[in-house]
Amino acid sequence: MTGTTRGWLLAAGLTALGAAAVWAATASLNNYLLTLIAFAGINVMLAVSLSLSNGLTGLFSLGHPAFMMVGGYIAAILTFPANRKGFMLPDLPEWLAAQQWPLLPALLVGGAVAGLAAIMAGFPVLRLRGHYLAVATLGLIFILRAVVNNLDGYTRGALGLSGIPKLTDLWWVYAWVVITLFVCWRIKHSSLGRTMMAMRENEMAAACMGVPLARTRLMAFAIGAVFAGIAGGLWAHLVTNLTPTSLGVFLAFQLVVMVVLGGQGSLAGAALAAIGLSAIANLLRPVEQSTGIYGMTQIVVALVLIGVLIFRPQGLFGSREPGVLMRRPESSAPSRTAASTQTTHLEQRGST
Amino acid sequence: MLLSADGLTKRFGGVVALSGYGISVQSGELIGLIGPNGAGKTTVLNLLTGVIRPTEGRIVVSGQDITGWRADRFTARGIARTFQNIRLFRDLSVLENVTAALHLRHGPGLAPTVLALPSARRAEHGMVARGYELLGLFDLADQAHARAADLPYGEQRKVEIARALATEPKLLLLDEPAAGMNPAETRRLMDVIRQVHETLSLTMIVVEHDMSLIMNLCRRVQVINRGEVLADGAPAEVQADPAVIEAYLGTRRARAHA
Ligand SMILES: Nc1ncnc2c1ncn2[C@@H]1O[C@H](COP(=O)(O)OP(=O)(O)O)[C@@H](O)[C@H]1O
Ligand SMILES: [Mg+2]
Repeated sequence: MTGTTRGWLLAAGLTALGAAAVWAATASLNNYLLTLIAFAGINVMLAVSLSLSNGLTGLFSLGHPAFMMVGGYIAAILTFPANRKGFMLPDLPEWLAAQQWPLLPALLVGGAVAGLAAIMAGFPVLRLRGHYLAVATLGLIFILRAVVNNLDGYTRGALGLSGIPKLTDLWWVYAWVVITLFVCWRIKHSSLGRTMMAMRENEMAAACMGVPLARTRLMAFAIGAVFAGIAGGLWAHLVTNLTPTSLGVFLAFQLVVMVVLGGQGSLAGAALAAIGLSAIANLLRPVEQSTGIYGMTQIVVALVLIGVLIFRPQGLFGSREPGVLMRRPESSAPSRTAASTQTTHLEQRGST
Repeated sequence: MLLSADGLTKRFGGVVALSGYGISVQSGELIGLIGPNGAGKTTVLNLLTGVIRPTEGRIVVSGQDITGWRADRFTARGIARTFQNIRLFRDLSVLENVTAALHLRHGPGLAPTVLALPSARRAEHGMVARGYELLGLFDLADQAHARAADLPYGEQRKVEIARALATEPKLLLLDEPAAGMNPAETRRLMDVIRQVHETLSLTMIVVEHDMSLIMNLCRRVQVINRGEVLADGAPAEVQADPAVIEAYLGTRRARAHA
């Protein structure tokens, strides 16, 4: 059995296992718990895609909530009941007001527009580095907020768009989590992913090895934004209302904590951290309510971040993935028969 | 003519790092570029690889003026390099350093990658096999999975050359490849450079400040000092040039006797 076949079997097995878990959950848990799990799943999508665009390339973007807003509003406008669009969203052009789309195409369009928005924003913003980039991408959240507020004929502005049909359920979220993981995993473990990591390691050397820096950066940023946009659509159809402040700085902060906690560029790490932090937040909510100490979640999240930065700055997995999920290097070595004289001493080191 | 540069001037603020530099490189040449520290050798390499843009002058590669292009476009046009202060992708494995550079010519695009098309898998296998071959040239195949930054200094220099070769250059520029190596390592490296030049019939420019190394390796030597070309010719001619003796050998001797 080749390493590749092993990888596919493992992926198929994990997907089936997850599906069984989702099935068991929908059969036995109440709606409240199912919604919490769906939120955790959306966080997994967000953290994994952010881990791709930030962790692999070494960018530091906080802009994910902005792209969620783009995807969320677009998808919500597309699925909104046509009979209520007329008076809720009076500025919509007639052809759009007459539409009432199913969830899937609405999510896809929302994700695509979020990706385009990232490309447009990325041209100027991705020239910046480090803190400057972080602040500029944070600015995207506020720009989007202002846009949504001002386009109130399309978005209901500060009032928020309420009564969005509740189309998202755990199955939708699960399917998108699987797709996000699959796509990000493929990219990370591909030649393109290697060029992104090369750029992270040394920009000048990467450029001299033929990596087009601006394009590669933009690609990683836009791929992350597409998934953020889709996640925003799922979120809107789970919560059923969307305001300009629903998706903001605290979420950006939480997502960064998940990525840092998981290890820069470790997708499995980001996914586990997203699940863990979601669980902590939800366990703390009843405690907050019973003690009256609101904001405890924020404090715990911040403490977790500080603790990780001090005691394990590389995160759970560094930039690697847990060993069981990885192919062994043997599988990718050329076969001995094909080896030339120059490759006669190809003893592999198991180095995962 | 593979490459020609003329009138290259580079000013950093008030500092003139290079002034009116020119070179023409024929296919198959192995040229030594020497000069004392601060002469402008690295600046020449940075200009010829698009890492920095000249204040004046132009660079023509295979008949096309590529002055002002981005570094990755220079590489795509067939110019590759190594760095004086090693710039490996430190956290990646030795093999990944080389395969990252193979992407330029052999990497699959985004769609085949994401869709896991057979073409992407074939490309990946091809790149890995080619990566091992290139590492084999430098006896590095058994280090393929080591983290690049964990290799000894001398080996890291060799990984840099292997990585540069992975871009399949027509012209390879090496910036002080023997810096920091002991005499035995240096001799071995010079053999490898000669071998790469001959077996791949690769055109090369080797930057070195140690004149004796270059005199044995190259049939053509260019000497620069304070940003200007002092001499360009066969090693014997260059060594006999009074300006070179004055500016270069003089300072070397003075230092050697100090
Ligand atoms: N980025 C830079 N900014 C300012 N001065 C520079 C820069 N790069 C090189 N120089 C100056 O240009 C001159 C030539 O440097 P360099 O090309 O590195 O010399 P060499 O490689 O021959 O030792 C030196 O005086 C150096 O200080
Ligand atoms: Mg130098």
